This record gives sequence, structure tokens and C-alpha cells, in this order.
Amino acid sequence: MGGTLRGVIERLDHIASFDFNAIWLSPIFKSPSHHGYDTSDYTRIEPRLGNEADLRELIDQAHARRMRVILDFVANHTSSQHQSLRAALSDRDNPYREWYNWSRWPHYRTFFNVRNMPQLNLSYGSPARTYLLQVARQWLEFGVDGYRLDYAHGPEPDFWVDFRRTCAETNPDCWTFGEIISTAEVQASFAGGMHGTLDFLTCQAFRESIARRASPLSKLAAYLEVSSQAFPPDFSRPVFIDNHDMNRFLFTAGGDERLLEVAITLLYLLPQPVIVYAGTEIALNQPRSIYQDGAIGFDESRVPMVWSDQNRLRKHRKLFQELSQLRDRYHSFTGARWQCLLVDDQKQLALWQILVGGQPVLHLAVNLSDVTQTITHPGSDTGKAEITLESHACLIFKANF
Amino acid sequence: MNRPNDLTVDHIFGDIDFPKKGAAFAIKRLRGVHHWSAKSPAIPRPDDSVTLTITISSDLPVQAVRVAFTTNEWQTTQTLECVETSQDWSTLLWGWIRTWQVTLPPQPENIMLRYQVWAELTSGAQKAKPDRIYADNQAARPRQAANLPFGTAQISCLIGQKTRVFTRSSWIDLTPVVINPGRRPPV
Repeated sequence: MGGTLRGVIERLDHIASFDFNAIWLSPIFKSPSHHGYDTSDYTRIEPRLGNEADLRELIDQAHARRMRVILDFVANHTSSQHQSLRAALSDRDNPYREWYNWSRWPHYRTFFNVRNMPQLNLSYGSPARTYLLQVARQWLEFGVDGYRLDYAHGPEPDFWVDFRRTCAETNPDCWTFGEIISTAEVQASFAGGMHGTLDFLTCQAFRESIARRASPLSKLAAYLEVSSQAFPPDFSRPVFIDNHDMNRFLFTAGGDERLLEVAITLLYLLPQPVIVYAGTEIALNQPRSIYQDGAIGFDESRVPMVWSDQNRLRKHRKLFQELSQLRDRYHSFTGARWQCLLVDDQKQLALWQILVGGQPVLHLAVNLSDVTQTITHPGSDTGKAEITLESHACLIFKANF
Repeated sequence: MNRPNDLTVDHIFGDIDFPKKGAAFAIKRLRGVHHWSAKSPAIPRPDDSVTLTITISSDLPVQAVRVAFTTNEWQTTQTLECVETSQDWSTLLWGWIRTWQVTLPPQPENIMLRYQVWAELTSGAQKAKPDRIYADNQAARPRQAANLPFGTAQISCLIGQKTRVFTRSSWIDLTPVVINPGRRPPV
């Protein structure tokens, strides 16, 4: 984790060595905060992180490694230090007043009552909508490859339809995905405004069943069989097991790296794009919960990378590489279906068959219990197809019965 | 297996996944005039008819449900009347949910179809003020689009959007977060 654009450039080989092929940068535009989710100037890069030349070099070097660069785009609100808000507050009749939503001037509406995050008025025909579309176009023309749309639930879907059209006109290969932390039906209703939405539902299911082991495997199996049904077929739902707004998966799993490997393995076999939170690839942990008394909230999970320990940097690399090769071989499991062949909640065992084009291509056996156990494949007539799995482990295998 | 005061419990969804808040969330989505961008197909292709679905809770005395749409940025509009297609009991609301639908004509590729949906209420009824209630556009503030010809709540839909399945062999699949927001710098 570089912390600056220069730092990312220097670590591109590390990222590439895990076969990752895109980088999503959390906000890099000028901002007074440490997290950057309150932009004070959409056209400038935060000097603390670098400058345009750094971004240019990062994009060029990433593209040379066949990696894409995705920016975090915050459309719902700006920083209270954005010049448009300052102008709007300076005079009741200032035209910038139209950029924001007001309860009654000079009292502006905000993102979750956070005073320094004033909410933009992105309604049809508004100057703020026009401006943000222009900014989105500008950075795509600069060379970025897509946008992660922060709090996409804030602006109305109507805005995103215009946003996506602008992006597609500028770069037809652009990818946009939204952060909509809500029900499946709410997420699906944004189809047409973005390529897809971050899959928080599967994230939750994985964390409950695998990290916390608080939810039975049968529930996870049932969930995976239907989880795509609520969405249009082409709706892209990037899936992940943790991010910068929650406890790290490894922390939630009590520091058990075997459970992290199980989750990563299952994640890579899903028919969805996979996102790995920086540090998860080296099993980075955090010292305490984001909810603990005295904790500093989400910042607890935003721990710095550990670059000094070479063994640790390499420890899980082979797993990621092999899983990436599997995704390549099976075309990212596009359209794949998971069929549960066996699940035993008491023993915490499960066996899935993964079908691509209706044909079984792989099997996956999982043992989440604390002891070594044997699974017998139910499709075996001879009863000899037995797989012995250590505790907190999984195995991908081919089987033709 | 849940431990008391377990600090690993997630609150990703602001606890709407817990029964009490979930019920309140569901009731909010049902009560009133709603569209929730419910259109079929969700991503229309050229020459697809687009069917819109609107739900209205039975505490509102509805006379008619209409949709106005435009394909030229509201320079000209057409208005259609929706048809009531079903009534379903909702125990959450302890009332009926009435469903209305209307089908918009097919459009050629790359046309931006914009529309507004509203319910006209029986005048004089206690809840009939204003006498028109616009279906939501899911904005944080449903009345945001105040500069529209009809007042509020526009929904847009681009016909014939290019849909893509992103795979490793096309270009995108794995995306690590690299620049972390980082910890708050020490003061």
C-alpha cells in the first residue's frame, strides 16, 4: 500500500504478481480530509498523494502491465471547502446556490448530517449535474478506465443514466460500479445507470458463514443458488470479503488465515468480478474492532501495508495465482451455477458442483469444522470417492462420475 | 454461535437486515406512490416496449395514474394512463397494495427516454393534498427535480445501452484497492 500515487507506482510489480488486473484508487482529488471522500476540487489531485504527472505515469505503467486504473468518484456531496459552496454561502442570490440542496438558505443539506459534506443538487438540468458529467469526461479522457461510484444511492438513478451515457461516449470500455448498501431490489433498480453494484449481500453471507461461522453452511449454499436471480443477466456485481468500511475479514475470522484462504477460494469461483482489499492478499490484520470502545472507527481496518516481511508478502501469492489461472481457464466462470451436492451443518461440511454452460467443470469441498473430516461424494457408486480435508480448509477438484 | 457483545458482528446494512428495522424499511417502501425504477426490461434494447410498474398503498384515494414521457428533453411530451393490474394484501401495511402498469412504445437505439409518473387523487379527500403525488425517483430527496415541467421526480432510461460481461480475458476482473484512505494523521 503506497499511500501516494508514487508509492503505488513503486508497488505495481507486487500487485501484478498476484495476477490482479485492475486497481481501484480510493479518492485522489483535492480534499481537506485524510480519506478524501469530500472533494474540494474535482479537477486537481490532492497534493499529499501526488500530481497529474504521477497519475499519468501510474496509468501508463499499469496499462503496460495490462492493468486498468479505476477512480473513486464521489458525486453525492462535495467538501464544504469547495469553492461553489463558499460562493453559494456568500450571497443568497449567488448562482452557485443552485448547486446544492437547502433546507433554508444558508442551511444546506448534508451527507448523513456531516456538516463538511454538503449534498449536491444533481437534479435534471442542474448546473452541478452538468459540471460532474464534464469532470467524469475529463478524467476518462486523461486515461482512467472507470469509476467506483461512492454512495451511489444518494443521487437519483436518473443522474446515473446521464453519467453512464457520458462515460460510454467518452470511453466505451469504461466500467462503472456503484456503492449501494441496500437490498437486492434496490440495487437492481439502478440497472441502466451503472454497469453494476458492489455485492455487499454476498460479502455479508461470506463473513457470517466463513469468518464468524455464525450462520450455517446450508444458508450460504441456499443463498449462492439464488443470489443472482434478482438482477438482470448483464448486471455486473463485483464481489469481495472486506473493504475499508468494515472490520477486515481476517480480524472477523479471529486471525485464522485458513478461513481467509477458504473465503478467497470460494470468492474466485463465483461468476462475478472479484475485488481484493489492499492488504487482504498478504493476510493483513488489524489490532482491534472498529466497534471497540476507544476505537477510531473505520480507520481501524485501514492499517498500513507491511512491506518489510518478504515471507509474508509471498505467503498467499501462489493461491491467488492459481485461482486466477482457474478463472482464465473457465472464462471467469461467466454464467456459472453453483449446485450444492452435500451440506452438513453439524459437521460444518459442504460439497458443491460448479456448472458452466450446464456442464459440471469443478467440485469444491469445504470443511469449516475444527477437526479433520472425510467427505464422500454422493455421486459415487463405489463410495470410494472420498476427500479428506483438514480443519478450516477447502479443496477444488475435478470429478467425473 | 453468536457471542454476546461480539465486536466482530457486522452492521454493513445499518441493521435493516434485523427484523425491526427491516420491517420499518419495507413499510416505507410500500406506503405511498412508488415506482422504484421498476421497468421491464430493466435495460431496454431498441424496439423493446418498456412496461412500467407503479404501486400505491390503499390509504390513498386514487382516481388515475398517469405517465408523461419525452424523447427530446421535454420539448414535447406524451401522456398515457396506467391500468390497474392487481391488488395484493400487505400485512406489513395492514392494507392493500394496488399495482398499476403502462407500456411505453418502443424506441430506436441511443434514445434517452425520460418520464414522470404520478397518481391523481380524489379531490376533497383528507390525504388528497396535493392532488397529485409523484412516484419516487429514489433520490435522497424525492422532490429534488423541481425544475422539471411537471414539477418533480423524473426517471430516465437510455435505450440500447451496450451491456458487457467483464471477464479477465476482456479486461477487468480483479481490482485491489491500492491507495488506502489511511489512518487519520496524528494531531
